[in-house]
Amino acid sequence: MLAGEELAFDEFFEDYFPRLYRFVLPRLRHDHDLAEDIVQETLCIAVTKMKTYRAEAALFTWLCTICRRQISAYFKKHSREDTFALPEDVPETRASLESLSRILSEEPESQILRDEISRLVQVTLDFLPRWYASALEMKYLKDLPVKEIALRLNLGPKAAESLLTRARQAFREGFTSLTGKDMGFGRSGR
Amino acid sequence: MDNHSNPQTPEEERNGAEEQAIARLLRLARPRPAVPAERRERVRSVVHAKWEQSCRWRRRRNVAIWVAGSLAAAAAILVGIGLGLRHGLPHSSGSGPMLANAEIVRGTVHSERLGIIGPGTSIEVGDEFWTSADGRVAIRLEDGTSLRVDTGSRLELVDESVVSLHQGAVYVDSDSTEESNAPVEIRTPLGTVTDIGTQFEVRLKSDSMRLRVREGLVDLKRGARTYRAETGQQLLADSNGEVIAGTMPVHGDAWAWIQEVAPSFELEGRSLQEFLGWVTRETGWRVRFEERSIAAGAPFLILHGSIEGLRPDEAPAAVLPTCGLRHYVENGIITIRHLPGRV
Repeated sequence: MLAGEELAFDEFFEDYFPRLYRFVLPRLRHDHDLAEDIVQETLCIAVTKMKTYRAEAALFTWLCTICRRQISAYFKKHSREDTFALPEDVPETRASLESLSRILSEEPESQILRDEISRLVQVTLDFLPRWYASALEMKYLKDLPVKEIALRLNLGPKAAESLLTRARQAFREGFTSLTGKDMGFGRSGR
Repeated sequence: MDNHSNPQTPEEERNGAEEQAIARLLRLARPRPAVPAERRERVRSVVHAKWEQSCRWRRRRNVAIWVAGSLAAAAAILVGIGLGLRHGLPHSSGSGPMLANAEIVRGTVHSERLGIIGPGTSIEVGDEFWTSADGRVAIRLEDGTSLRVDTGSRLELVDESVVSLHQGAVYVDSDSTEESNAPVEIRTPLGTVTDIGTQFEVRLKSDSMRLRVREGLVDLKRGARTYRAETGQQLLADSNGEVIAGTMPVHGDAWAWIQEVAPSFELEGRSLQEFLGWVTRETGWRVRFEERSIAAGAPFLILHGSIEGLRPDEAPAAVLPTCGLRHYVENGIITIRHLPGRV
């Protein structure tokens, strides 16, 4: 992108715009117009400051950092108190998700809980590298065989299997970090 | 499946259970919502234009330092700051438009027009100020560039794009800008330094000028010759016309003074990742996480409180234990691990 390659810009935009939009939207109480403005401003800053990105954090994390500042600046400018914190932003509220281990063994009865889990899964996927998230969705949401996943990702079957393994590990780490709880991954189920 | 004829190892069982758990979670979740196409196109159009503009500007950027012939005892270093201001500046009570704000002041800093300078003082074109033997000041320019002035220095804002440093030292951090505008330009009787996205220090002594680059790249042009200094390098230009290149660490005592006037970091509501980014930028340290789980969680761990009054190299000792973490610093690397008994 720094070299001015159009393909690099396209890839960057396609990869990060939707994820950033989804990151911003709940933090702005689902105001789509405002979300569009904030994401636009964030990406404009990012493409201008790209050379300062030093890969100490994932690029998406870096973008979210810029985004958070834009959101804070917006609230400050409009004299609005930024009190809307998502559960993953406040360590104390992670305790409310402690019953998540039940989810793996029973259907959650509460629609609110189900919605919250759904959102956290989507957040975790958005924070994964794009190919990890795509591979997991193809495997577990679309039930595609590994051979088909390999074709779509332009990989060999073994490479696709390896990608899926890494993707699951990354998902586990990300989801556990987000919820602050070990989900009981790896324990033998009944 | 008959497990007795094909028993799984404990690891295979764990992997199988993990896969089932992840599958269940993903199926419970709805597919990630797509963004409406018209919004996508609008944003893409604007961002693409900005990117193209940034690429064009980057190609035009010219980094050059030239060094003049000899040093006089009272030689002045002109530090030119290309402000590239996009918006008109509000005028204040002085002779010209406001260009900068004093953010942090340590010890005594004087100005002819303003008297004693304190935090928040607006600095205008034509203002001259100086730091006492114990004085330091951090100045934020309109475009976000940070200037830090060491003890025993004398500085004047000559006009909108040039700062004259008559003695002492100035440290420039143009990476601290929220948006990059025009390049930072340093003019000296011994040369001109221009770069963007750089941290560097220029120090004038009685018979030499020293340039140290903490991050970035600068060229020093002296007569027909050009010398290049990169991150971790320094150039020493003496009165005999010689330029000696050397290396120096990007962390440690050599940079300690700039931490004394480092703009503070607002901790409340920021992530551990952001905090560590600020610490590493100010100290020159590199971060190493002893466990992957710490690295994975850093963007999500939100901090509360304040580190007002703490130097960047002191702040980790106050902040990390509140996250169940601890650290040590060795050879410019800050290693972060869990506190004993915490995972």
